[in-house]
Amino acid sequence: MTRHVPNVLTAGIDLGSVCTKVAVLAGDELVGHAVAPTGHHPDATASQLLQQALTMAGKTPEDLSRVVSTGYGRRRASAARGTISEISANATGAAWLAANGVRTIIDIGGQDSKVISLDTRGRIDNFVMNDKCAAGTGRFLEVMAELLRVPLEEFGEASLHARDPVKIDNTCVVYAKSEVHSLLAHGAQKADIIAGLHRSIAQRVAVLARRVGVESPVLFDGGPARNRGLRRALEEELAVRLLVPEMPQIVTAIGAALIAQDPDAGRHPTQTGQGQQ
Amino acid sequence: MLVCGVDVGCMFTKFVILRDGAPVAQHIMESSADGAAAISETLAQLLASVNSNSADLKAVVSCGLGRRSVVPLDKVISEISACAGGARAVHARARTLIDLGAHGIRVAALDERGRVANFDISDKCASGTGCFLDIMSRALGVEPLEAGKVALCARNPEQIESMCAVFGESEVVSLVARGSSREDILGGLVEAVSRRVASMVKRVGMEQDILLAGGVAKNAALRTALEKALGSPVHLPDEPQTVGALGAALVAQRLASGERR
Repeated sequence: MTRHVPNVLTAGIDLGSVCTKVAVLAGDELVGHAVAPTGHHPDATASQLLQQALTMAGKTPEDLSRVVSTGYGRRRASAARGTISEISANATGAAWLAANGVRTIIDIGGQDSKVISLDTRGRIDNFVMNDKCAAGTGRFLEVMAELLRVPLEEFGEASLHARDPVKIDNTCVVYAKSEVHSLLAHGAQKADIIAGLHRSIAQRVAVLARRVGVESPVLFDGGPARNRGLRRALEEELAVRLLVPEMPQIVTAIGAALIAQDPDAGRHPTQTGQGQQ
Repeated sequence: MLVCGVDVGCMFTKFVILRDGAPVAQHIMESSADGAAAISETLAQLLASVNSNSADLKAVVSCGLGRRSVVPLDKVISEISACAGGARAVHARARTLIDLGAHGIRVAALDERGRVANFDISDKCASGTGCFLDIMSRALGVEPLEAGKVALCARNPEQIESMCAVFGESEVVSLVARGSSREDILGGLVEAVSRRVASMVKRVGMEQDILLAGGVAKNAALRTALEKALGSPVHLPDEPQTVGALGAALVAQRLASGERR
């Protein structure tokens, strides 16, 4: 499928519950990006990151033809002139990144997880989302990182050294916390516990994925996709190879920037000042 | 003849001692990691308090998460059947039993003879459990035991969206940041828990009388909120927390007297 590439500068802002991501595209080229925790002032964070991404691209806000926001807090980004759902943005970004197409997207976010199935032409066929329960989301890992006193960035590496991964019986984050507490008290190795936690998330996400059906190629994105241990656990659980983009966190922001190239897409006026979710 | 029922929950361990079928002692203590030793020691003290010793103890029956850590032990039973037996003893007309524990919500429909006809257990997820309310109370800087009293002072209970304990905690923190009072937040949480319990009751089938048991029943706001959610009166025994232990003790009584069910 060939795509007409407009020669314009656009930006996508993905305002997530935990992190905000910005991508700047010049036509078909990613020229700038920035990521930071959303914090208590999502709009200010988004504007700051947009500026940062533009500086990286050597551009100014005046050069931008359009900005589209997406994500949980998309209506709070006053810099955006349109909004799009994160499902559409994620699918668009994934299709652009994967040269040979994508049929399934597994996205683990800070407070949710979703699985999107696409048809052979890259259109959304079905999707399923969990945002009601912290199990199987980035939040689960965050809670555990705090409990284990191991920085989240070290989880992936640590789990790859596990010799005897423990089995975590509880799905619920609250109960899994007590379980990890008692595993530590009984002398379990942190690496083994972390590997067990990755498996627990993988199982949870796999249940979600099987509900829409898993067709290869499968793209894994979202912040936690940077975790190599989690990637491996998910690959084992689903028995498929996962494509993980170089910057899995910004796939949805890239999608929003691509959608911004089409002046007719995502044309809802952004409610600034009093954002709703 | 003395018998004992022990309900080893994940937060509290409850004991009931019967002499010739009548309760003579009961005790509630925090469950500990070295469960078995603490339980044996407390049991010995309880027997001493009724001028007896282990030689007089004819049978011990346990239930609860840590039920295997009771020594001596003659039989283990499920929480549901223990609680159903205890419910029958404290409120003979009970036909719907709601047992709210730290780690689980259990609802049972009882037949005319007090036997469990249908039940539903939610113990895989902390949502709506005692643990859920404790986490929220702590996030609000309220002692869990005071939470009910605080909730009773709510003027405009908040609508709580997240029933996941982890997401709910963040929601509570952001409600505080937006200026909601602890009273209104706790009031909203108790209502949210009651709605969740009420939906389980409706699935299992609701019949009068409805009896509320379990440690969470001690939350002063919960019963009223449940009555509102169910649109029906809810009966609360004097000591809701030991209903399961009493049920276990009654089974021990039957064992000791050689009675067969």
